[in-house]
Amino acid sequence: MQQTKIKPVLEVQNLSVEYRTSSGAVKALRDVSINLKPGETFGLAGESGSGKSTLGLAILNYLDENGLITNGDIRLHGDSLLRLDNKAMQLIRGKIIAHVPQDPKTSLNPSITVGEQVAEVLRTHFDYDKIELKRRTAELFSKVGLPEPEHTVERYPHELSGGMQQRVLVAIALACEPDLIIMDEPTSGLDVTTKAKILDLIKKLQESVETTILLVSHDLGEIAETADRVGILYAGELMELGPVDTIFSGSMHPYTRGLLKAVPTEEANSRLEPIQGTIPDLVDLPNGCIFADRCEHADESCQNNKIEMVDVDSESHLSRCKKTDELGKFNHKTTVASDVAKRERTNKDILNIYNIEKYYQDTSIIEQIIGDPKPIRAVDGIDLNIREGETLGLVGESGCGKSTLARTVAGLTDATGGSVKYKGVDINSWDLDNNNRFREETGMVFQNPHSSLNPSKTVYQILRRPIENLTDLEKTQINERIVTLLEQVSLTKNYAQRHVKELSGGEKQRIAIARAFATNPSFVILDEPVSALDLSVQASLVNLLEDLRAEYNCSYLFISHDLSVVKHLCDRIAVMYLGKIMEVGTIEEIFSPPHHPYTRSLLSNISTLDPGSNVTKTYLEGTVPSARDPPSGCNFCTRCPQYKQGVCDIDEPTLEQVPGSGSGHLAACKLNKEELMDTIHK
Amino acid sequence: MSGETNTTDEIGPHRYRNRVISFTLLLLANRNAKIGIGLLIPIFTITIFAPILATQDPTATNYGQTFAPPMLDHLFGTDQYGRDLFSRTVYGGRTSLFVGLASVALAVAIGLPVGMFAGYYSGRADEILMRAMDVLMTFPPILLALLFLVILTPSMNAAVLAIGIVFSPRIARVARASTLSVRDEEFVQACQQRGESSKYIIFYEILPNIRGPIVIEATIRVGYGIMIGAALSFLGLGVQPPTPDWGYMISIARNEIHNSVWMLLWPSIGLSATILGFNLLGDGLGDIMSTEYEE
Repeated sequence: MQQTKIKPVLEVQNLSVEYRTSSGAVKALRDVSINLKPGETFGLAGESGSGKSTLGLAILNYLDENGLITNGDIRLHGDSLLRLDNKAMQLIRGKIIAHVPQDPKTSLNPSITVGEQVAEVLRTHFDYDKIELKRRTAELFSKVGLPEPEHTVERYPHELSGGMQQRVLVAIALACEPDLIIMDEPTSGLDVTTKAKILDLIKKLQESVETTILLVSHDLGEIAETADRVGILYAGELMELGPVDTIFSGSMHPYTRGLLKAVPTEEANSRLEPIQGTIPDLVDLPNGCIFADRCEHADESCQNNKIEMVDVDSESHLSRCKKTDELGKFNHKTTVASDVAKRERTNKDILNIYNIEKYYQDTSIIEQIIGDPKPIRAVDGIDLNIREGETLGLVGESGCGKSTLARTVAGLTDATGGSVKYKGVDINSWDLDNNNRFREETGMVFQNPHSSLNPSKTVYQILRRPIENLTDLEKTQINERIVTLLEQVSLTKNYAQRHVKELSGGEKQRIAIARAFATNPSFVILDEPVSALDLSVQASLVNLLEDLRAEYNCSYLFISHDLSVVKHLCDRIAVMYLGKIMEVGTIEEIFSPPHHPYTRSLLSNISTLDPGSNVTKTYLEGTVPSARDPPSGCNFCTRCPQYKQGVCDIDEPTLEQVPGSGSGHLAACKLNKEELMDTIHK
Repeated sequence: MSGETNTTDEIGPHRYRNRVISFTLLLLANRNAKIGIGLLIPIFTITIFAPILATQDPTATNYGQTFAPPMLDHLFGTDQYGRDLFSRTVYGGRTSLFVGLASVALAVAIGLPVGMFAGYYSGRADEILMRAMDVLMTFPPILLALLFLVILTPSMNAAVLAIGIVFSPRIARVARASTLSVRDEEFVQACQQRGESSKYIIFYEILPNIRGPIVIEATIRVGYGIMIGAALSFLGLGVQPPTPDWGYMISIARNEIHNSVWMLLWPSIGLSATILGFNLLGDGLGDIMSTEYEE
């Protein structure tokens, strides 16, 4: 018997999974092998369709009915899980392998208190009495950092914020002190500040409990930050496997390199390098390397026979590439930034927003009688200006009112106060002709590519309508224009006849962008246009938006919660919190001190691709207050780490020039310059 | 670009035939829909070709031969006036189907715009329109239809009008619920942003996306429409004699059941087969359209 190595907790050996569908067997996973050692955190990274969730479900023996393990084995402490029947598996699920599902909103039962949902798991696996059960539940709640555990157990899921719900899910997973926790995208759908806190929780758990964590995520930054080892999954095959530092500083596989290059870097004005092409059809697989048709290094030999995992320099770093010996190691930090053409910018304003307000009041008769008489202050007095040819980034957490502001500017909802001037004319005072001109000269791109195109129409119909309605082009000119637009968004003219259903997410968003540009706009509102997309697709769309901006010489209002994308694309940034602008300035002004305290915490929570980085993070306590009842004084004062009693909660700060900074750099904060410069604080 | 101007014509929309074919294939692969279509096609064929198929005038009486069992001259037998039951059954399907289809067409014509406008505008317009519809809904359909027919003079058209109005709230509810789920989609916002009229958005952008539930609801309603039509005729308030109608035929046959079973049998078979056919087709459409939407 060999006892030299530490026995792995979980071994996945040559696992292959197929889904039987009407169009053939989808080979979702092929020949995937990973070993999880006790106490380590293994990051499984991959884009959508890579099979990363399938792997998590296969380990739990929880595949859909049409999912079938066709080859390989999954061993827990050396015993095969595949031979167990359902009953035996039930004892393992929750007790030995726990699962943290992706979406806390749908994963918690809304009609049962969160404490009871934790107790449920304990009751299934242990024989606790009532008092013991209560004690244990409260203990778990304090372990995952939920405030006032004794009271929180009595609450219902809807009374908790998204981050707190996620903590409850982690508490459920920890309930039986499992040997392995599978976390399926634990932070997707959470805000930057909440996400940072969940990652911090994972790191704390790594120190305090002896649990192996399998972290499934599409977010490379998240994995760099928390994992010990990482596996890169592409189209159902493991591409590269190794320790986190090795992968992020010396990746071998071209796909890993492609992913790393596609991440918007801190370096502004550099061009992103997306991975060309799309993920192959998993029903009809190509021969040889699965990545060959998208790989810049591929030649004929790559497409001939099956590619095996090879050692790179030690057993711990493996890469599924034939050319491992030829390719040098790649460090994403050393990529040379190619220059992007400087754009012309004038000081003329294209859009002015004066003290705009959007309050929502309950409308129905019953709500007016019994409801809250206070309106929801979604946008609460905002002044902004956007210059010609400029890109203004609007950042903030969800619920801060940034989308409402965009909708108000676009004329989708009427403002309840203030005014918007386009090229010096108030858009509400316009007659129909002028209004149509405003519609023609503005475009809008929405967040969700799957909902922004009408599924019952063809691409041709979608692009034709705005041109026909808002411009004077003749029929043949319209068709020419559509072909031009398709070319500009890097699609061939064959796409015109396609149905929306036949397009991928990235293609849909390209069409949505083409539609926004159809009428030759000079001002485009982009509401989180890339946040729903995979990393490699996101990079190509960011590039596309840059190209179109140069081509049309137009201004953007770019809304995003992702500061690295904003930094990459924008000239100026406005930071929004609870319906108000907290800070506004150029990229350089925002990203270097002096900072508004809220901006500082946002900035400190950007995840980097640097596994060893030790940036001091500023975590925000508490939750965003209700927009019905904002705090007195500064809106941010309830969560501000630099809060000064007697100053911040008395009167409201106005946007004022930050001392010692440029004239366009404004912040709404009562703190003095030294305090704003302060980088270390309690 | 300049060299390609001639080829731009081919980018226009002409891909509809494929979808119709693939939809038909899907429909035939569904068990419910297949049985439904299998029942409805012969019924429609028979009723459409009634003048050719009928062996005799359905209203011609022959007092020498009443309550006859099926025989060569009268395939289905004769009724209490000696009228040919086969011809009456074949013609009776015409009125029943007409009542069912026309009343549902009327219900869609009223309910669809009401429901869509209510769903799209929401707020006060929604409440006024839907509360009015709710009031209509609180009456049992047959009672409300009776009320209409008391005001109007009983006739087939009056029955169609009554049933159509009675059914319109159900269509309106389905239309409103579907509209609500589509209304906040981003493609609708994109239309609003470029200044499209509400009429365009409702009928050209939203309607194509909600036709599934509407078609399903309407198909199932046809069956019910025929049933209520038959019930009204049974009560003597719908189709007036001597026009043959399944419901009216059943109502008369009930009194004569000790004289002839055949009088009751044929219209009952026709009526149940038609109602069953429409319901199965509706279920089948529901199955297909819900999976199609998921894709």
